[in-house]
Amino acid sequence: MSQTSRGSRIVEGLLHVASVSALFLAFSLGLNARVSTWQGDFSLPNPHEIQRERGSDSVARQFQQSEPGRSPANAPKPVLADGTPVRLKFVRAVVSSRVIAGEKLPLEVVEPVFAGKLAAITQHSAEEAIVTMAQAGRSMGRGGGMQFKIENIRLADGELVPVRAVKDVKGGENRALALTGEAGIAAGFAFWPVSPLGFLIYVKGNNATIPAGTEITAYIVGDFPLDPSRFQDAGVVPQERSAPK
Amino acid sequence: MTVVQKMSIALLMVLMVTRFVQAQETTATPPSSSTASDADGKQRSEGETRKRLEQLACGPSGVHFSHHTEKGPQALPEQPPDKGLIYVLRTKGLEGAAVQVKLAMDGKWVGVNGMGNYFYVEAEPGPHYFCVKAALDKPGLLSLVIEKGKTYYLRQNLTMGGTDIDLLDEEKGKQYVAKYSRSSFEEKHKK
Repeated sequence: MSQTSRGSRIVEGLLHVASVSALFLAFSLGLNARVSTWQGDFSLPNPHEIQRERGSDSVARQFQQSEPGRSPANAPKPVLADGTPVRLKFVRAVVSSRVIAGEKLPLEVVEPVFAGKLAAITQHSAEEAIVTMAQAGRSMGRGGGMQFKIENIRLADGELVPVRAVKDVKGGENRALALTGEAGIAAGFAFWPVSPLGFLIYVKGNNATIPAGTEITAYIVGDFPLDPSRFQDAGVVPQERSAPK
Repeated sequence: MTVVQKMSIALLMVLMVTRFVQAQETTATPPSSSTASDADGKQRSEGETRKRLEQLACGPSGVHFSHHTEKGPQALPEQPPDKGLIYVLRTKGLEGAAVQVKLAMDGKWVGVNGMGNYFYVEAEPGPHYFCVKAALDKPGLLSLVIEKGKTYYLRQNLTMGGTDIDLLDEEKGKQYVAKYSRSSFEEKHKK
């Protein structure tokens, strides 16, 4: 009996502590929300925000989200604007003689993309390019070629947004042969196998090659409003980025 | 059971165990090149890629076409909105005047050109694989993602160094088609 009453007292005590904690948590969250709104409205952008603005005409529009006098509830959603650049790099080297059209090439986001204070696209996230044309080095010393495109970029919340990015890479010609031109070909034909030109015509051109780490910029197509609840606030991200290596 | 029979059975068992162990080893540790290739298809060697592309692109051997050039002005096809239109042309040059140059798409021979000829094919949007072959030369290969509503110009390029297929820009391609004559061909069946 005494054990039962002791148990119920413990439960009551826990409930009391829980309710006080919940009240304290709600109060502190409300205070933080107010503080963050104030920072967005009136403070000058910090150095991280200035860095984010570099090379992006969309950020100006993104900051319009927090006009003074508007409450957070009816403020417009932050927007990932049309034309926002996304810097990407090739994870590994690509050679035109080793890929086939339709295959995917791994890419990595070089720097994060922000929409207002939200990290819309995170650094180091994996993306893909699609090979649209591939050709190995050709005969007569003519170079190969490779074209690829990036259709979508994955946002931090997993949603895909369309981008435009096309790259055309050509392999170099074999100059020793290229300089000979049609006259060289004719001479090679006439004097083969005596003339060294006769052998030169069998020289293959170089493959088109993209070294690992090569950067390419894709641009967002269309305006994309973001749901702030699904993205990390940028205020947290810079601390992680500036950690000593 | 004689000693010879016992020894034979023992030998057979040893052989079977050896085969089994070898099979397990093969499954567990495949050659590094095929592992890379199977894993993501990007680490293939140049030779492996060429072989794969030949399988995808070139038609069977032993297929021949009878060919002639159509005379007079030819009406060009309309661009289908839901497909790609591909012109295949062969420029005039020094080499192989009497040689026919075949083109295969996705493992099937689709046409042949003489010098200063062209023909066209339609293709569904998506990746397609092209193979150009003349006589005994090594085939020229190209892979291309076709988009709907777009026109492509491929040139069969026969040189003394081999046979190639080039993707031309639209302006150049249109110029060639305007001044060249259309090919007419039919697959020859051996009786």
